[in-house]
Amino acid sequence: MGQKGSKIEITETDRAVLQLKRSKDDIHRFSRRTDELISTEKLQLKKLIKENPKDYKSNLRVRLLLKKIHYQSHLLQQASDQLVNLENMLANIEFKLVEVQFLQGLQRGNEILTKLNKEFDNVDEVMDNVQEQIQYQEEINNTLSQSVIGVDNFEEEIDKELDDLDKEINPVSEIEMPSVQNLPELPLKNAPLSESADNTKGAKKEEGDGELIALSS
Amino acid sequence: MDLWYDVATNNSGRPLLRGGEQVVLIQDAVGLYDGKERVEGRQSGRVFLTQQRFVYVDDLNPTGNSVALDLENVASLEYSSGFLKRSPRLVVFVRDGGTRPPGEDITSAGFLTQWVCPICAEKNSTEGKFCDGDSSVQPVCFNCGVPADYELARDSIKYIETNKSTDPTDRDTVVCQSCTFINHKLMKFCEMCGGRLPPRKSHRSKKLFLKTGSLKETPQFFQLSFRKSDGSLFAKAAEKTLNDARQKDIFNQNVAEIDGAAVNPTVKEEELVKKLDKMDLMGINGLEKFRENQLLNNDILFTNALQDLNKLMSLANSIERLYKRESNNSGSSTTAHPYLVVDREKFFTKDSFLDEIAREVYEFAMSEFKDNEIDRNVIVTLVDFYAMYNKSVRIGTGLISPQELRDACQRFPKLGLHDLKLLKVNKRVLCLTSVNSLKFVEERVMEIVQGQPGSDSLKITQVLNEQAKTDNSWAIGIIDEILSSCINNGKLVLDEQMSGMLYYSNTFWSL
Amino acid sequence: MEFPPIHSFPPLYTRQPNKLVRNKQLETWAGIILDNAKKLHRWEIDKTGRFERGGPSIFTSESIGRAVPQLFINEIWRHMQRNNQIILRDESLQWGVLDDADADASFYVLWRPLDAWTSLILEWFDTANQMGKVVTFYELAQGDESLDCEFHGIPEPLLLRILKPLVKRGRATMLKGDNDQYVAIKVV
Repeated sequence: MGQKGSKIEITETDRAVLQLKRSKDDIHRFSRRTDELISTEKLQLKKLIKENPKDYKSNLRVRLLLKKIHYQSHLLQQASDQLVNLENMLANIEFKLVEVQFLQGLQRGNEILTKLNKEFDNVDEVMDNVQEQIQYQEEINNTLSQSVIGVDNFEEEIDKELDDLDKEINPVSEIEMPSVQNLPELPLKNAPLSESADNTKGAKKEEGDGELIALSS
Repeated sequence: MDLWYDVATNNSGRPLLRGGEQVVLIQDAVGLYDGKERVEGRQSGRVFLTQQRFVYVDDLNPTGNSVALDLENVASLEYSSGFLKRSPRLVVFVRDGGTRPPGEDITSAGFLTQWVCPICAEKNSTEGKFCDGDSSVQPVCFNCGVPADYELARDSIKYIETNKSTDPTDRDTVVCQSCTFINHKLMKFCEMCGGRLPPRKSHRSKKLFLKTGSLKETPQFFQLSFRKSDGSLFAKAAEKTLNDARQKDIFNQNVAEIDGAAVNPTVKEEELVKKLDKMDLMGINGLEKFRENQLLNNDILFTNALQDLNKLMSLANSIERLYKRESNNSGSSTTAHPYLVVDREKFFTKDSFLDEIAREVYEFAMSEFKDNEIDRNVIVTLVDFYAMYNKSVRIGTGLISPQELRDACQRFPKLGLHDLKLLKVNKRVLCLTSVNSLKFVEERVMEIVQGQPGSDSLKITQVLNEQAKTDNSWAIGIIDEILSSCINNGKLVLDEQMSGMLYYSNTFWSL
Repeated sequence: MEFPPIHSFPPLYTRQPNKLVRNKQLETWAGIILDNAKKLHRWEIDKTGRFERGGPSIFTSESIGRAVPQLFINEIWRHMQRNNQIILRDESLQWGVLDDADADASFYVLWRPLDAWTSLILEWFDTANQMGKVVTFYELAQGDESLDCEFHGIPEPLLLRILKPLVKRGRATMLKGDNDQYVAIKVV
């Protein structure tokens, strides 16, 4: 099989991370063990106290045990702190890696941008050129359009023809609208509305008076 | 050593005992000592202690080298236990002037005494050595019959040593006592007078014992040396037997006859018959009387025989009566019919015989099992059935072989006997079954197991037979086969325990 | 340990002579073992059917007083091995050689198939944002990050076997520790 392409590389960072993680694991293991130890010793302590309810305070074993527990807890605390440290370190590293990636990305982007930007150097020239050409073209157009004299002013005739055409078209587009004069009045609900309605229809009121009045009363 | 006489043994080396003689004890690995010296050739053998004698049977040569000593001749016994290398011994002190039993073979030392009778001056020649001994042991003059006194005859005594046996029985003639006619040695009755001739093993020797061998005055003794064992048991038994024999004072008590001559004429039959003494046997009168005696004896014999026969007949009759009574008790109609006996010889071919047997088997099976209420559900292994059938039906008429039974059973369908069939259960066991019985029993077994899970085959059989309530029940072997077939078709599952196999209904893993 | 009602059925403890029934019986036992492994969250079981040393064997029932004989137990193991429900802890041991002398022989119970585990872990890598990072086996198995996951508490040798296919597929590499054994993995 020729495919050996996707071989994953292990960088130095990886090795460093590995070491850190291993230390973290060790501490984790240790703290777990200590935790268990503490709980068993606490149980033992309780048992001892139960056994000697009167003089547990003076019992050497009890005191010793208690001291031991304290010490263990102290250690545990320290371990936890270290754990936190390690974790922080790892987190930092991770973050740093990300940042590195980010930076790399930026860099690369920058390079490309600059490359692309270089294309724009000639832009001004190109723009000027283009404008010149357009002007030239317009001149040519003008020149060409002015060349022939004695041409009748067909403009008026052209306009007439156009008007004719228009008339032909326009009456077709006149829609027969029913006359507005014979419309009954709208029923008057609200006074202001009806007033406004009256106002609007006031202009046509002259023609349809009789009926309108009858209705409005 | 004269006291020891040869004794006949059978081929396997056991001594032939006299009629009525019983063995008390047997001891092996015994050697024989004469006095203090070993007896050559008789050092390894068995000693039989019987009620009458000691019998030594040699290991190496039982037929030729075996000897016996009568207890009559034993004076006393003494037991000495072993000391260091010496084996324990039983010392047998013999009586002076002991006798040899009548009719036994004599191996004399070969001494012959010639003497002149002081009464009739006849020369006599007798075996053995005539010495100064008891007055009880005196040779009798053959002419006048007067026992000789040693003192009177002493002068005339001549001892002749013979190497060969001068036993008169070794001659080929026998002299008749009453008429002195010389008969052939094998004759039992004198040709002339018809008198009885003395048996070859002469009675004379009874009176003739003389001390032989060493002329010592010291008490003679023999020793039995026990090589292997303690010998104390033997010694005790010997003492006891000796005492018994003495107490009864009847030696040869159980001996009915010796070599044809009846020893104790105390038998009843002979009371009827007149005892013929010596005088009666003489002359014509003697002949006639003799004949009469014969006839009488024959009659007695016949009567006895007829009596025995009668007894036998009456026994047979009573058996028949018993049988009839028994068969009447069962009360079924089958007794009215004469029983058809299927006899092997009466058939031409094996085939037809087997057919008949098949029918008989069928009938027997049906009649045996029809008591079963549950619809004639028969299932019995062929082995069991074979035993039953042979023992009950075929005892008088010839047992049939297992192969024949099997062939017969295979003919059932051919003969149209459809109720029973031969079935191979579990591919192994042949059973005789009626049509549905296998299934039936299987169902019952399943029911029982479902009702009482974890039963073993014994329990199932018990429950099944309780429920059946008949005498005819299913054998545990059948139940076992059915259980195993249920396992094979997945209806039951097994729980194997030290106590046995327990069966459960297969609810979880049903197929 | 929890058991289904069939665990109190005496014939379960006897090897059934009927082949088809026996297959079902073996299946039943396999089921019981896998269920209990899952519920108790245990991956290891020893030859006599104990999840922990000195603990009760799954093959005995106190209530009915029955126990499966070791010979049949071996048959059950073979059956489960064939179905890939169980793998020998010590890979160098050949099953055929396994006999009473190997009292320590024990198995990993795969109450999920091996590749299911692989996928699960791969998923975790994804969701916990650990792609491309170095993760130690200890972290995977015992770390606080994986506390909620099904594979928390998995023994490390088993983890190794689960993760090997990833390396083969080319999706991960393993890193060695000080004592030349694989201790960490990086997945991409």
